Amino acid sequence: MSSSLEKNMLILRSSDGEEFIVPEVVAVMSKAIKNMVEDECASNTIPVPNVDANILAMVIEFCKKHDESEAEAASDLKTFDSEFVNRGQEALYDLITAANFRDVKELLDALCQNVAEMIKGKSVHHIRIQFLGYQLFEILTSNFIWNIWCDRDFD
Amino acid sequence: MSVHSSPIDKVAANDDILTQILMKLPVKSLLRFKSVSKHWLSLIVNPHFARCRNPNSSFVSGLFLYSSKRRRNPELNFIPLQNNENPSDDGDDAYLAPLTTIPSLSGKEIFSSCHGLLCCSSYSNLEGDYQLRYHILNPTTKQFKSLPQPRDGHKGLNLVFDPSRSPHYKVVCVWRVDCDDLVLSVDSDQNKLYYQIEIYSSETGSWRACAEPFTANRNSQFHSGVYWNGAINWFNTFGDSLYFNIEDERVRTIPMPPIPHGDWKGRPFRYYGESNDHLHFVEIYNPRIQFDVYEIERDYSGCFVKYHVDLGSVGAAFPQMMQRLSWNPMYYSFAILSLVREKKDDDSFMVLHIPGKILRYNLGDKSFEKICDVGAEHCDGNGMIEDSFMYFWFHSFQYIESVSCI
Repeated sequence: MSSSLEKNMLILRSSDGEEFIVPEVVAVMSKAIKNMVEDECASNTIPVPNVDANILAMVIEFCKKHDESEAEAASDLKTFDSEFVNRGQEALYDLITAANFRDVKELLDALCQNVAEMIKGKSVHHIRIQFLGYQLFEILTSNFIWNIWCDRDFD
Repeated sequence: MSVHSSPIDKVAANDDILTQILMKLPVKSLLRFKSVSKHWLSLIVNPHFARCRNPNSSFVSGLFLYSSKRRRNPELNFIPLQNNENPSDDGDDAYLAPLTTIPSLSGKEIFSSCHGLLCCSSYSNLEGDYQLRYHILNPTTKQFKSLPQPRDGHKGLNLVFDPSRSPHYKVVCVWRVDCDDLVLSVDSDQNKLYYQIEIYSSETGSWRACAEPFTANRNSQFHSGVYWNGAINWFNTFGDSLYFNIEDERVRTIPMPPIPHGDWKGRPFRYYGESNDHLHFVEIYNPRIQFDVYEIERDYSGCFVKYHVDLGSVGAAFPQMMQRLSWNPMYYSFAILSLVREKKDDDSFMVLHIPGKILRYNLGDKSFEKICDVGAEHCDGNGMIEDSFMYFWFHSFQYIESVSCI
């Protein structure tokens, strides 16, 4: 059965209407799509809401590589992953949301690992600005004492 | 959140993703980021987080070791094991020796290690009166908590902690019941004494007496209990080995192999300990370098030989191991410091101490390698190795990384 499945293609439609023709084995690396296919509630065209063409193309690129390289050396894949996730902030966080929403575990793992690498040496102060959108004003006022307290043993 | 939230806002607002990212951070960063916000704190201290981050709460990343009290200055050392595979390894092992960095616990002594938490004691000077106090310590987070004083004259404290079952820990304390306090049943066996158990629960923060008193051999020891299989297990040199089930709070006997014929007064245990949900023990009756590692059946129906070990190859490579200990010729110069079971049985290994060295002995392919050198070799007048044999298994405590709160 699986050999005939491999020839099957699916069409993924991004939130902005662009369509991508993708082998089913690649598409089902997204657990969300896999469930749809298995439940046979999907026609050949599967809408991927909340993910625009730009991001969807990246997700597909990642899945294709991971599908092809099953036999390839793990180190090659690792190199690919680390280059793949090395992107600007916007794309990186968009990709994370997409990977989480479509449930693509390997991609989510690689992306989260990348974010963890980026933030592990950062100060609490920095994390607040980056993740909580704290403005300078807030930090200088209400959180001033708290910051000193929290950052006191930062090295 | 604004309507046009940026990509990072979406990530920051999604607990699933945020947890995934936090899960991949080294411990040091994680502990720092507890103070980012109440929200981040709540994600990090969630018991579920601790469990997911380290689903295998048996991953031993090192050993805490006390040098033998026969030495003049016993000290606490740390020996890292297999830290390459450890996700927390950010090239900074400063947090690996945290016990020495907690000043308020001077004179402390570890006596129990359980899935990442340590139970230790220290002397506190309370109004000129030196008192032994007990503490639970998480060496990863450097958090510690002092326990309310257990009853005077107890026979030992034993730690119960299994994050896969409960985020709370318990401490089991056994004390001897004075016979005068009891309306004794007719028990003429002079070798038996009455004991009672008290349990501390971190959930309630207090001690409570539990169950009826039970009888056990006069020489039974109730410290150094090993938590395994929902029970504290006590291996006794004299008399029965016992276990105390935490659920039904009853004490029962551990089935042990028969003591061989000969002039044996007790069981010469050379190791016992839990690893990856298996309970092992080693007895060596003669000066031998061949021995069996026993494992106890989960239903306590018996025990079986898990490994036959022959240290002949180690003795050939390190002849100093083949010397007898001057103070006990029953012993060749080796100690089993730990036995670590891995998911793949072939990857399981023992940590051995021989004069001047700590070795890893792989139970699968029977290969061995040096982990590190310890101490300087020194022979006394009779050619006996005296000083370089630093550690014994009962001075060794597993370090398992844990972000569990205490």
